[in-house]
Amino acid sequence: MQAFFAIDLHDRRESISFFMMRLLIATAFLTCLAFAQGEPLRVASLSTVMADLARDIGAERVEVTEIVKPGVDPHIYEPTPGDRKTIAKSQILLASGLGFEGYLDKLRPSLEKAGVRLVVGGDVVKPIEAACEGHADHDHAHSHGSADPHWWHSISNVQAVAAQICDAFVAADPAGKATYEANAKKLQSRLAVLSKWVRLQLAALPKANRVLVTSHEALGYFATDNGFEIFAVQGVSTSDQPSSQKMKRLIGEIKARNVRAIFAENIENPKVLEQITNETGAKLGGVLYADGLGNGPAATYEGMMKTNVSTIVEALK
Amino acid sequence: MRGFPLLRLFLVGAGLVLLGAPVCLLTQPLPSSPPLASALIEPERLAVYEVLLTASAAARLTIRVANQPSVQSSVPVTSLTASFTMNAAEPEDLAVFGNFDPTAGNSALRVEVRLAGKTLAEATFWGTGLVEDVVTLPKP
Repeated sequence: MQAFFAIDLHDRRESISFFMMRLLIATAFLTCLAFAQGEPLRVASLSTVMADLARDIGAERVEVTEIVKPGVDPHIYEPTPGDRKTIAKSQILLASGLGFEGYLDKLRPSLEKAGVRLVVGGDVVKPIEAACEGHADHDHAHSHGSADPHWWHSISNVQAVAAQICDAFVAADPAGKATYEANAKKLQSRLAVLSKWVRLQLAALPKANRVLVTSHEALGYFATDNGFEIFAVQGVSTSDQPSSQKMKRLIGEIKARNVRAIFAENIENPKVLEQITNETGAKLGGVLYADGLGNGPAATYEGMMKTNVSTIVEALK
Repeated sequence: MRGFPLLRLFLVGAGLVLLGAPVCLLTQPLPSSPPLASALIEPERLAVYEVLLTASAAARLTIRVANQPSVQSSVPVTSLTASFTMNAAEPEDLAVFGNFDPTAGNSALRVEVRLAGKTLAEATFWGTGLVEDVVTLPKP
């Protein structure tokens, strides 16, 4: 009996030491893996949409810092000294381009100096011309080019930018190539599904009702893709101010076309639109996310598109 | 009663309101419902579009057009035909659905749209279970 217990105790000691050994090896392996993977790729973003794409493609291999946060008006945003420091510490900076970030040219020299790679979404999209009315009757001091910078309202543009971000990540972190490409492929499939969802929702909307009256000219790409006509109170930038003549023309157009609803935007004061609804009898159709992502259901690109499309269909149907 | 002119005035006023109410109700304009798109279109611009859905296997088929009642098969079928009268200058998009047996694997849904006997658009959509898509018709 004593001999039996002695053997049992010996076996137990052996099995405990074997278990400890295995735990040590596993810990060492995981530590090596973590070191091999290294620090995450530091990505700063001036675009809420591109930040969302970067998070999807980079997953755990990237650390995305949003310089311009959801709900902030990017048209009037200027980077603070703290933002400039964050950008200088990053390896990649994402920007919408096409004149959306008026300060981008000023940033370029410091980016080159700090070795930050600049990825501009507007470089790979198919731009449409900005329909900026009233050059003669308003102070046109805002900074934008002749192309409409709100390219993310076309899903095909977002697909092109997703591929561009994937390429930039692979170039900066070749070890993560397989991860980035696999994630980008999944994202492209989701964007294709989203594109079909949008078309199915809009099919319920008669063509005659496809008139969008919004705060500013931000949904041009959406209009081009889906056969809408746009009437905006302001121009392509939120800093554009409508003249009284333009307001009169707009009110006349809304009445003549029997427009059912007009839309406010998440980052603007809808008072002017309320005034138009009072004069035309059109209802306030809801809030659209025009200049980037919002909060809640519109916190992701897919969520933002779904929220906008549902709001439009519900109000104009 | 004779001694209360204010009461008499009130009773006369109430009587006039009671008499005037039905007249007012009968003569006030009715709230108008939004007219159907086809009602606003000149008759010479209207055209009849024939839509033919063909499925690779029996499925519940549906065709939806904005502002018109959707056409759907009540039982699984392999084809469905429907006609829609639309503005030829700006025809509506067609949403087509084929609800296949998900265990049947990859299924196909073919759409053909004819105008005056000529094929105007055709497309084939693939998928498993619910196959759905939109056909945009060309403008003349």
